[in-house]
Amino acid sequence: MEQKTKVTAEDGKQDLMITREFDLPVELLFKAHTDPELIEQWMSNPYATSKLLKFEGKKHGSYQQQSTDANGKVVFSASGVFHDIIPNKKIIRTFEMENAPLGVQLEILNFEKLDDHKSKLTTHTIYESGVLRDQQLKMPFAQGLSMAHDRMQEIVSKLK
Amino acid sequence: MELKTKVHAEDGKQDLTITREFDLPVELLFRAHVDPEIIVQWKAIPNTTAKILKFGGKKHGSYHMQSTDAQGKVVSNVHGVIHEFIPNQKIIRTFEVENAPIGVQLEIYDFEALTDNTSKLNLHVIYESGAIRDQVLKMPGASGYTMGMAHDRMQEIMNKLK
Repeated sequence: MEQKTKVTAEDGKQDLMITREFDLPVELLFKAHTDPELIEQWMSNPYATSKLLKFEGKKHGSYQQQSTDANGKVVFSASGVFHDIIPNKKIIRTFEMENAPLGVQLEILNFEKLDDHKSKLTTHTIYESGVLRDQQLKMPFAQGLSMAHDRMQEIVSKLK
Repeated sequence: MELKTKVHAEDGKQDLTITREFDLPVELLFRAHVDPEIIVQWKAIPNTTAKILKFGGKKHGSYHMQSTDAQGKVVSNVHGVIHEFIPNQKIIRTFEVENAPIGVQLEIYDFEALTDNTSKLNLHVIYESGAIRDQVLKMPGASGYTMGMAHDRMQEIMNKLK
């Protein structure tokens, strides 16, 4: 099946453009990114449970997330700060995966209303270098993100 | 006279590298970047007064600096969040000048001890796009000259604390 989340990476650049359309009003798409309980739900998968150890979803706030497997082993942890949050429009944040040689990323999430029931998320991710970006692309990153977005669509649909 | 602060911008990229060596122990170079009373002295744009309204000099802290002209009119507001803060080594933060069409920048400051009395600042600034970076490079402040002068002021201020 074709992945619904598209990752565009121009040759020789150090950034990525990630787009996805959702069958969700823009308000719910935004809520899925700022409501800690919803984030934990769609960031979790059958193999790992995601927890937000810290989540201050406001301008100049910060967050820390962790995923553990069935045996309680930490398989993923990441943290960052919110530079700006504009409800239903924009989130600018930093993102760093712990114990991964990918450095820090600047992420700009744009939330766009397409109609009353549809919206589009455009994430611009900027890496410290083109080499680091290309390294990220060698991982099953786009696939993982698309699956997480599929879960988000499913979970948040129930709130419609 | 050759500029002591070097700005390196590779063609077609969206980032800059700024380097400068100081006759300062790395601890004083770091302090010049995190002590609000010292920051306002060297970071103020000429003919303005800088005031730090908020300065959380720690991991996940944030900052807000405001500059006013002689009449008390606000001429700039600069703010951001601190992603990483390792004393005498590293600061990673976001940076934005409000109402300026140059987006948000990610700034990575590396503080490096060269000897007991000399140190080097390596600043990596990443823009949202190459077009924005090139726009910034056309502004008079970006040639390394304005920043070089600010760094000259910093060197002078910190000399007194040696």
